Amino acid sequence: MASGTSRVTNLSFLYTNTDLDIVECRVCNDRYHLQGEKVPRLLLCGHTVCHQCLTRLPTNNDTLLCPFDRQPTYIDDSGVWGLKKNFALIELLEKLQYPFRQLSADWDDTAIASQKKLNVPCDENEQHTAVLYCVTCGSNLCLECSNMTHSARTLAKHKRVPLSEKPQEYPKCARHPMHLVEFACLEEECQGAPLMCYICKDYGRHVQHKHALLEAEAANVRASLMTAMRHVRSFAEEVMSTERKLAAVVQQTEGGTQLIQAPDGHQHTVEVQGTAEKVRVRVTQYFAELREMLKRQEMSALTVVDTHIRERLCMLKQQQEDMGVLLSQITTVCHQCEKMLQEDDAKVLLAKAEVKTLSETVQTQQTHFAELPEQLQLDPNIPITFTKDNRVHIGPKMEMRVVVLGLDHSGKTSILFRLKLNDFIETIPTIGFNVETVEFKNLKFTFWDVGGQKKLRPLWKHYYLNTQALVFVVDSSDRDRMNEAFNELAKLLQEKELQGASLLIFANKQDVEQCLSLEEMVEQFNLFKLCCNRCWHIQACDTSTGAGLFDGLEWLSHQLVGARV
Amino acid sequence: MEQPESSLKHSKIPALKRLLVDDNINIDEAVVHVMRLKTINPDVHPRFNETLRVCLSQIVGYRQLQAEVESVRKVQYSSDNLDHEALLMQLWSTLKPDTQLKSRLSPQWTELGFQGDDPMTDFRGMGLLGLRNLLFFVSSYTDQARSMLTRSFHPQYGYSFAIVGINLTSLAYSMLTAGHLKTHFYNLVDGCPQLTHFHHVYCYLFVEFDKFWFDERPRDIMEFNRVKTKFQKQVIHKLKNKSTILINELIPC
Repeated sequence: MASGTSRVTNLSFLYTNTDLDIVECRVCNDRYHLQGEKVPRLLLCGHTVCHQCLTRLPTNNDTLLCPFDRQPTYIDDSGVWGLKKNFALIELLEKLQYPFRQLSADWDDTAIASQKKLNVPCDENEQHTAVLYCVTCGSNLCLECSNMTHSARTLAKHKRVPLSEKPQEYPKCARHPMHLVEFACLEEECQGAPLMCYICKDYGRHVQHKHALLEAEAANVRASLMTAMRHVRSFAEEVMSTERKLAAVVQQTEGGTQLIQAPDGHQHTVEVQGTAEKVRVRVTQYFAELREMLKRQEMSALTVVDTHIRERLCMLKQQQEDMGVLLSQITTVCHQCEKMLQEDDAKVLLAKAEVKTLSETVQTQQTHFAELPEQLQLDPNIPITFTKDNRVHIGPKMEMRVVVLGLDHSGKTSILFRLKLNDFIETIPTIGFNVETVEFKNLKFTFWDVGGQKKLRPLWKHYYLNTQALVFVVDSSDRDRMNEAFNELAKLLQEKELQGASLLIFANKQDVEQCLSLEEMVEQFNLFKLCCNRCWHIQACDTSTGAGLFDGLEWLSHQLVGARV
Repeated sequence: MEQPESSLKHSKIPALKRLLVDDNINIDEAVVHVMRLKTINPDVHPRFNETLRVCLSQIVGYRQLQAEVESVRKVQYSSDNLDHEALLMQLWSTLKPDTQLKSRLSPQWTELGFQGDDPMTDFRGMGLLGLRNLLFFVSSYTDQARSMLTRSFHPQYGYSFAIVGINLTSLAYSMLTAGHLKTHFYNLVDGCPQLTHFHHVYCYLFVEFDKFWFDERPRDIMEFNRVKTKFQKQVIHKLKNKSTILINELIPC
């Protein structure tokens, strides 16, 4: 158990830096004690010196001279012991040593709160929570009850300690109520009731059991508890930090007001946009732009159509007018002829030449009229198609310029033949190029098939301009030159003029045994990487049956024509 | 010469019409048959018999030549066929007697104007006919062929000799099939024209085309099809003249 002095140190938080010089003997500079050698005694002049120093002062005719002012103090037979103790000082000392009797006011809230946490009820009043323990009475007390019960002078000397420093109390042994529990049994089977007193240990049921001091074992358990607690704490921290993070994320997502420290030190609230809101804004923006674009496209499409209609109507009306003129001319001729028929023979004969010119005029007009149907637009329908970029195309067919490239003998010309005539022919090497138009659905493809001979490849570039699609033909059976083929393709894809062109790869000659499959090609030549940022498609085909070719055209047509139309 | 053919074609008598389509026609019997049908007195027209015989044999002969050419064209060049390979090697040694071909598959073939390392892939559509035409030309008019090969490397007006040759085979073949060459053969041969006659037409076309090409001063080889079409039109136009025979000073036929 801690001694009185050590308790003063322990409880130093209870009083502030009191000037302790007043409780020191000014001769030896030692602290006064409540009794014994260092007890303070009063001289007649009123100065106080400790008992020890007084005994060392020389006595002269039963008088002592004050070391401070040389005033004599009479000493009787009992000597220094006969001098009065300085009770005022002693009381002060006592107060300093056992301060809580009256220092309750100095207990700060945190100190009290920390004691209250132990949650022990006050023995005097169960409504109160104890913060002190009186060592002498062995009772738990709250501050008020402590002051109240220990106000009497004798009781005031009772040593009271903060509840947390309450001395250990061993419980009584359950089997031997006369004895205290001092040991803990370590045997496995006794873990249910490990407490024992020395009788249990030496003579009772725990004879020869492995044991340890209760204190030591409790310390062990405490240690493991501490570890567990540390663990739990760190786990709790983890959970807490995750929770905090979640909270932060929620806040970031939801947005709201946030305190911002300005550079000048002022704090002000700022409305921060949450990510949810940002996303919503982006979506709205995207669709707004889309609508804006669609609006523009609609406007320009309508303009195109309007212009077309105006021109068409203008032409139709012009033609209508022409017809009217023609009709009136013919009617005039008719009238003239009729009139002439009425005349007498001589006049008819004379008018012969006139009649001839008239009929000639009519004839020329008739030939003109016969030629007209090609120019006449007698179909009121105005066929339109929409391109993928929402432009409107007026006319029965939309045109697409396609350049067909590939190594020599890959089958470019054969593909063209197949598409054009749906027939297979063994071709001859293409020198220069072939050009063919193929109509497919509402599209008119113009295919430029350029020879694949090595010498011709540098001339390919003359065919890139305004090309909407590039068809690259690969001979799937020519494994030896597969690398060469895809090197050429890689070069083509670098071409600026082909940047916007869709790419259709025809893996031709799939009917030949041991040809490379599409998957192998895509894999080996990393086509996804090669063709990124581009509309591309690889199509297996063979020209001997024509399989796959029209699927390729179908894909090409989708590249140009709007999907919904 | 084409008049009798046209008469036969438009004849109301099926037996006469058949003369234009049937194979294996006995010309002597046909002549007798025609004369009987048309009640022609050989005493009144003493030369009719002979003239009709020539006509019929030419008409039938042209058809036979077409069939023969077609059969040669149908044969695909095969690198497994030793005869084919021998012909190909002969082509090399005739055109490049001083250079050794390093291997069967070699970039050297492009020196003759083939597209790649293996000429086989270039024969495709024209089959063996392309090779036989070429070989006939270079063997019969070796000097001419060599000088044309050299000239075909002209920096501006150059062309690929061998594949142009194959394209010209295709041209000759299509003209034969379309009947354009009848004028030439009817004027040239009094009986059945042979494959050699066709080869000679090819030689004529090759030499003429070479001249035509250089005279046209094409911008680059991309003009080939345009020039070829123009050339073909000219030849066909020439053949419209009933007395045309396709010969020149180099190719006397």
